[in-house]
Amino acid sequence: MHWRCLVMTMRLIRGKATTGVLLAPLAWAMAALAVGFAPHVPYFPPWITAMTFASGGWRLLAEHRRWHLPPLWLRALLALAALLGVLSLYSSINGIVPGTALLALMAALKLLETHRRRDLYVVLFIALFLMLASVLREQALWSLPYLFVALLAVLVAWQQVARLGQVLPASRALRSAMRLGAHALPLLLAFWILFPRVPGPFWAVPTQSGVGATGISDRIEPGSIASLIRSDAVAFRVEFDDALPATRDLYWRGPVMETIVGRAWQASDYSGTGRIDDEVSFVGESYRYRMTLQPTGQFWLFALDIPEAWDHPKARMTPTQQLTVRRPIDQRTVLELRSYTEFSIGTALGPQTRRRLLKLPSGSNPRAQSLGAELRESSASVDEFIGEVLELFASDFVYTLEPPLLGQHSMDEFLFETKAGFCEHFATAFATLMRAGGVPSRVVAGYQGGEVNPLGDYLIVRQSDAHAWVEIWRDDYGWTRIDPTAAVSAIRLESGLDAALRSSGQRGLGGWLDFAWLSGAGFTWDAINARWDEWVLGYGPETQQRFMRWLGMDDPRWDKLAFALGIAALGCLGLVAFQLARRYARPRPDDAERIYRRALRRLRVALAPHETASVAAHRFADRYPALAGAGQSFFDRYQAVRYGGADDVPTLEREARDLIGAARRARATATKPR
Amino acid sequence: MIAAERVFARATGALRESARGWAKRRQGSDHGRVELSSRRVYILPNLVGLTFGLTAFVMLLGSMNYNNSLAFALTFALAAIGLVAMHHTHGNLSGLVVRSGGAESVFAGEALAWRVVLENPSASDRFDLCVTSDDDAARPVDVAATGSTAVTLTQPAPRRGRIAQPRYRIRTGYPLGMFVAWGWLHPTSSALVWPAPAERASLPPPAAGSAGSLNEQIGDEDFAGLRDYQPGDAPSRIAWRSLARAGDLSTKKFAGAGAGPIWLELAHVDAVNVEQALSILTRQLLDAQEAGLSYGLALPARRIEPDCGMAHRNRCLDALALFGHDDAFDSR
Repeated sequence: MHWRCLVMTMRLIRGKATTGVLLAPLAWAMAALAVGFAPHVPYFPPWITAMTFASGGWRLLAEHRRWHLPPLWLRALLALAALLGVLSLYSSINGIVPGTALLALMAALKLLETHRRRDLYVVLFIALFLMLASVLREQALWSLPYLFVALLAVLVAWQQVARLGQVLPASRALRSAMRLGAHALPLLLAFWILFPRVPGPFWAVPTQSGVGATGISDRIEPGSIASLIRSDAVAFRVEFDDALPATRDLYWRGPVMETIVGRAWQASDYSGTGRIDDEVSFVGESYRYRMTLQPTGQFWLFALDIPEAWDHPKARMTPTQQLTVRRPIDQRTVLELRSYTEFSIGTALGPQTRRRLLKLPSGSNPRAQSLGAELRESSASVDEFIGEVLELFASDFVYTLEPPLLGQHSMDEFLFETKAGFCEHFATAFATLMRAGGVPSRVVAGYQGGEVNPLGDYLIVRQSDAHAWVEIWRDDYGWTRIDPTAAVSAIRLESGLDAALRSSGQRGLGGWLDFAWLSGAGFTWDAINARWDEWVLGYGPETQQRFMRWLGMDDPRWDKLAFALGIAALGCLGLVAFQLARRYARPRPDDAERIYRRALRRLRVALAPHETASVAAHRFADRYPALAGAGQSFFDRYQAVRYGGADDVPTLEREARDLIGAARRARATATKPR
Repeated sequence: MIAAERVFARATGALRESARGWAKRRQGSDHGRVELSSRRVYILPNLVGLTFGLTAFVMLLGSMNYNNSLAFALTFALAAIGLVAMHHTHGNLSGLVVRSGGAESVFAGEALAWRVVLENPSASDRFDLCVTSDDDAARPVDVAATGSTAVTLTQPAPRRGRIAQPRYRIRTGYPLGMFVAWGWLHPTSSALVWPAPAERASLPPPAAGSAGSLNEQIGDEDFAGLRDYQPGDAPSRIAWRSLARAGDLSTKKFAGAGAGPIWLELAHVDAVNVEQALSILTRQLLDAQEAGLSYGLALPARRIEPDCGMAHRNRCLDALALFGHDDAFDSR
């Protein structure tokens, strides 16, 4: 008992001793940890990186110099400090970023107590989880190559840690890791393609796995779209089955805003309002297309104006013909849709709804309100009223990406003072004037146009294509789209924003964005990105179903997929077993040896395994005296090829053939009765 | 806690024992060269492998929850690597050829060293092979392509008699240490353990009527001078010190050397029991051999005529080892 107390006390003063045995595997495990850690460095505060590397370096030195490891109390203190550090930094340990930080610190501390081989496995497992965390946070084009390299590094390290004898030479370990990887690759692909993907999360996760809400918002006020325009980030890519619609028809419908709150127009929450859908009747031809949507962190999808059908199982259409989902889009999402660009929506408007859609905040924008009322009174019909307003915009207003800032009564200031604005200024002003004139109106946000990538034959829609337009209610047609921006700058809708700005003598987008790259290499790059987004990042339940149907599996349910996966996995493993059987097969005799042995059999010359070719030559000459010369030549050549380094297998083979033939003839004549 | 552990250990021990019995019944005994064909290589994941599987499963749940494609890729890569590693571990062992080489006889109380030769007939190296008769850690060996490596299995031999080589297994975890593949070998070879020699014992006098003068006392301690070295003299009797001093080889002559044969008889040994008597006989035998005497061995059931030399010594020791055992005598 006393003795045990003494040991405990010693433990308090100094930790376990090191022996230097672990030096090589420890270094390998640390290399794997560094590879797993690397993508996190830009996201961590420097002290986490510093602490991890410092403890790793110290641990290696300790193993090298046979120092004692730090005692338990010191490690506990460090662990507590790390926990408090993370808590003070992120105020939580839940979520990917704080969790990763904590994991990295725990790895650093784990290094300080590794004194057995088993502890090194913990380091390797942590490296794997760090890799997982890095792809949960961001999925870039380099992520997959990174995963490959990192996995290879972990495999090499894993072998060295698992190695019972002396660690393998690095090149040997790398070769063997690559062999493992190559054998695993077909199986990985089978899992990837066939493992049944199930939509939706199983438990609540922080809604954004590092993906902030981007792009169009469901709230528009003067200036909100203009700020988006400066980004050339891709919003989504669209591949049409047939011909593209005209650019002026490419209205990508997003949030529909019916309510004014302060300066902003806002989309309503329709869940549970019980409002009946407006009936939509489609006109003209439909367009089928596939859309790869970048993660937005928002609760809606985009569609070419009014979609008739879509294949996202969780998407619903609101009464305002907007596609919404219950969970934010935080992954690349691939959708297949069918849309119409011509349609009419709704047949009647109830009095209550009409009142709501005419509502303007009392006391705000008094001049705009009276202007709207005046214009409506002076015009004979709604059409004329619309015409008047558009005429007003066309005559006196400037389309600019750098609109002056607006104050409290933003519409009044815009309409009567600054008279310069971007699409959201015109849309909100137009909608306000319509309501003031007694015409129900709403603002629609989304994207307009897009750019065709000739290489992939698809459309790229960027944040810089963000747009806002208006829908007004006409008692005869229902909801009708009016794009007031067209009145100010028609070229915006035909040829895009850059052209519109340049044609009005303004600085084009080139001031913020360099579109020069969009030719050649740029398009190639985007085409690669598009395929990547669609087939790798966007390979989810929908894409899988589509791909399986394309492969000819009808109704690809999960059980069918699981069955196919089982078959494929067995096939892949069979292939691996076959490869290994070949690898561990007995070494094949080389060609010369094979020819020689076969010739001996066919010449009926018996030779024990230890007897040499010269013995064989003698025996041959005894048996076939007439062929002694040819035989000598063959056996000499065999020795030259096999042992002398002569590279003349074809001649050897020919001589063997000739000799076997001659010997057969000689035997035939010998047995013939004379 | 400890009781539970003991129960667990007993349960797993029983399970393990029955598995071994099953393997023995299935494979039979192994003579000479044995190839560990794939049907006699067993494989199971170990703790690391199970943890690895659990990790992949947790990652799968995470990937499904976040519906994250690259996380799926990582998860599937791990799963695939695990499955492939199983085949690699199996392949590292299956096809290995094992030769059980028997062991040299030792005295009781020493350890038998069983020779096992691992031959690798394939064109690819094999790594981290542990040869072990119990489950303790064994020093791992590698076997190069088309090469072979010899290992020894030590086994304590506390009692005299014939000892059969215990079954042993060859185990490997290469390359990733997630699976352990093993094959059982049930060799048929055996070795003899000679009785432990007693501390000291005096030699009996030469047999009556044999040649030799009476004034020469028998005893290996009685140094009687040097004679010239003749080929065939035992190294232990060469006067090394004189070689160092004078530079020529001489052989020590002892009183009694060249004396008539002595008989080592169990019946004449004064001991409390048979085992002790055998120990004393062993000591006498060794001393007589050392002294270069010609000696015979007389046991109740067996009589070995006087002779000298190592072969004679071993034959006598074998007889002592097997004394009283039903075992049929053979020269090994």
